[in-house]
Amino acid sequence: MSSIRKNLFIWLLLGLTILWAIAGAGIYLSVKQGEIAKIDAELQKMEGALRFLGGSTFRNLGPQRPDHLIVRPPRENFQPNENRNSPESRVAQRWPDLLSEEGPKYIIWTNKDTVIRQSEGLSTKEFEFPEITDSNSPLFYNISLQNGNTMRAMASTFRRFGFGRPRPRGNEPTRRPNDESPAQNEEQVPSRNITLTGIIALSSEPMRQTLNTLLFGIIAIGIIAGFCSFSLVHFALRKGLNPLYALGNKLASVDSSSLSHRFSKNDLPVELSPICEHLNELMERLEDSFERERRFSGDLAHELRTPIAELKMIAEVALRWPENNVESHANETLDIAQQLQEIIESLLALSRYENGDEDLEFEKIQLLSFIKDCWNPFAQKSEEKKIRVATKISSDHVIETDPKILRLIINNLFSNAAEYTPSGGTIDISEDQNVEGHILSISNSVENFTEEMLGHMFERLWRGDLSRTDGSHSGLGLSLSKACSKCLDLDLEAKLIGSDQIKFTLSRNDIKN
Amino acid sequence: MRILLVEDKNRLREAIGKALRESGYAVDSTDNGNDGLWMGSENTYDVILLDIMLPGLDGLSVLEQLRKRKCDTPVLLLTAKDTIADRVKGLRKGADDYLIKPFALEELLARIEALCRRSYKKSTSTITLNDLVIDSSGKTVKRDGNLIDLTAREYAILEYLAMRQGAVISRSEIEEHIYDELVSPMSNVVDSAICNLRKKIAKGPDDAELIHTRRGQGYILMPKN
Repeated sequence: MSSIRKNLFIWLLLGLTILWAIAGAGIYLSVKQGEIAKIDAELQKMEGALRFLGGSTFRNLGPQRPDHLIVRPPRENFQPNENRNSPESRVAQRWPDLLSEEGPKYIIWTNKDTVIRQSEGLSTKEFEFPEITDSNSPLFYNISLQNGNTMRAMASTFRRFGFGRPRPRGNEPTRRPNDESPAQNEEQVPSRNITLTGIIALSSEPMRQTLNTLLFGIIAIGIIAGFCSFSLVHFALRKGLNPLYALGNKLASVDSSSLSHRFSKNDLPVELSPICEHLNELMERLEDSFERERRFSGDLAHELRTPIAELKMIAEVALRWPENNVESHANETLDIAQQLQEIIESLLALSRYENGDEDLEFEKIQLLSFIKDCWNPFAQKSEEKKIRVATKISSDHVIETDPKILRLIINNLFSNAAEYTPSGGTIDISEDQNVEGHILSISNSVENFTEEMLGHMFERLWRGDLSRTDGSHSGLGLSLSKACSKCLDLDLEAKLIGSDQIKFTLSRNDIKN
Repeated sequence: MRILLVEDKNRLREAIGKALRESGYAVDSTDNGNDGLWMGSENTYDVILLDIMLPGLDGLSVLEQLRKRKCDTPVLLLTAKDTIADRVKGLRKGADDYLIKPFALEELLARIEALCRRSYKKSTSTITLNDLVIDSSGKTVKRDGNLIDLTAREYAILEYLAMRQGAVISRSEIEEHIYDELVSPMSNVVDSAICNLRKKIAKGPDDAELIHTRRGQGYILMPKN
């Protein structure tokens, strides 16, 4: 059996877990990107060192600048070689970490096979010649070292620009353009305008440690957040579903004696208001049904108990005082038995027609003659009460129906009309062929009849006379007529016209709908 | 004892009325609530048997009106309504007992006797006066262990005097409680019945009387000194 609480719990917890995981991953990745960006920025700053180192490598090897192009400083400013900074010392001054053993590693190639400079102790196997497609932008990537460490590397290409031979230094003899001696040297030393490829790499161990610490923190916080989420979701669901439980408890306490109870929307959250409204509507319907059933049970009890009480009392009196036994006792007993039989037969017929257990035998009947035939048993009573009876049915009106069941319907309606129409009143039996599906209307005068009574009159055993004194009626006639109408797929309706006339209309359901 | 029966079902009303009369009760009956209220208010009854579903005024309204008019006659509701709510409602309106139809005649009579005893503050069905024993359930009278043969009317007078023993009861009071609307007692019918009663319950010609006459006041049933 599915549980809202369980489902919500699972989905909320799952959702929160995913959110926490995404948040953790987001934090981790953004920090990682930041760290990488920082290293990359650091590496970019060191690109100058790489260029410098590449350039300084060729200072003593490249083609010599023509002597006439050498601009010598004034003698007074001339400094001996030993006083001038070497490239290494200049690099050390500007990028102090570059030449240290723990510092960045670098390697510079003139081509794939020729390394012209590299950090001490650097393995060329770990630093492979990079394939750079775009010479304008450096290439950043990670390098795994053999010792398991990782480094962030930046590979770039750059040109070593210059004119002719480099300036002589120290005791180096000045070379002339027509000197042939350096020819051999020129063949060995690459042109000054060559493209160099270099890699400079920084250890990413500090970054890895930072990221590991961060990951550990995120996992630890994630676990704590998971427990907090579990408790929070549990608490929130319990709190949130409390009104539902409360409503359920209230509903559980409803029984047949408390059907008048209505659920208050004020104590409930907005989401439960529609349920509350529907429950109240249901309670109203249940109350009506129970009230109807209670009325039916009470009426049935009265209808059955009273004749039984009469029967029992007559029998007991006859047995106790046999000398007083008269013929009237036997007649009374017979009357009571007859009355009980009628009630029971009506109830059984009602049950049969309501369940549709009756076999129908349709045939065509002429309505006018049928109605006249049905009215005959009541004609004398209506004459005694001076009731005016008007029949407006055309003689050619033919309907196809089960005459036995239709007779039951019409007989009950006529019986009621003859019984309850006050003396001097009217009974109108008419058809309205202009109204589609209309078969017959029977209207008669009534006294002291209300709309409320109209709402109950098709209920089983309902009687307008609450004292139920008259034993010749049981209050099953109209409910039986209704059930019979349904059986014939007809609709029987009652309407109060003004305050002194009631009209029963029998019409076909299939055409009406 | 005089009983008012308010029941709208003719056959039942007649059968109960006959049974009660045969049991020695004086019975007035009616078939509607309005008459029932009028009769209950105007006459003195020992018990009122009241149906609930009545034409005119319903039984519960009759009961309510009777209690409002300070009529404290015990009321037994006779009805086909059998739910607890109906019973509680009836008893709360002031009924003293509730009997659901169909009922046994024996039970109805026993309940009526109990209500009569209650109205005369007697706890048992036997009234003893010296050696005179009146059994209101068996409707028998014994004197010194010997059964005395009384007519229903004589028994009713003796029972009424015994219920109110020690009190002077006027002739009209006896008439009210012993005779119903069907009987128009002649002026000396009570005196004649009392005379017969005295003879029947006396052990011998010299036996002191238990029923005494208070001239101009009525009769009193008193034990011998």
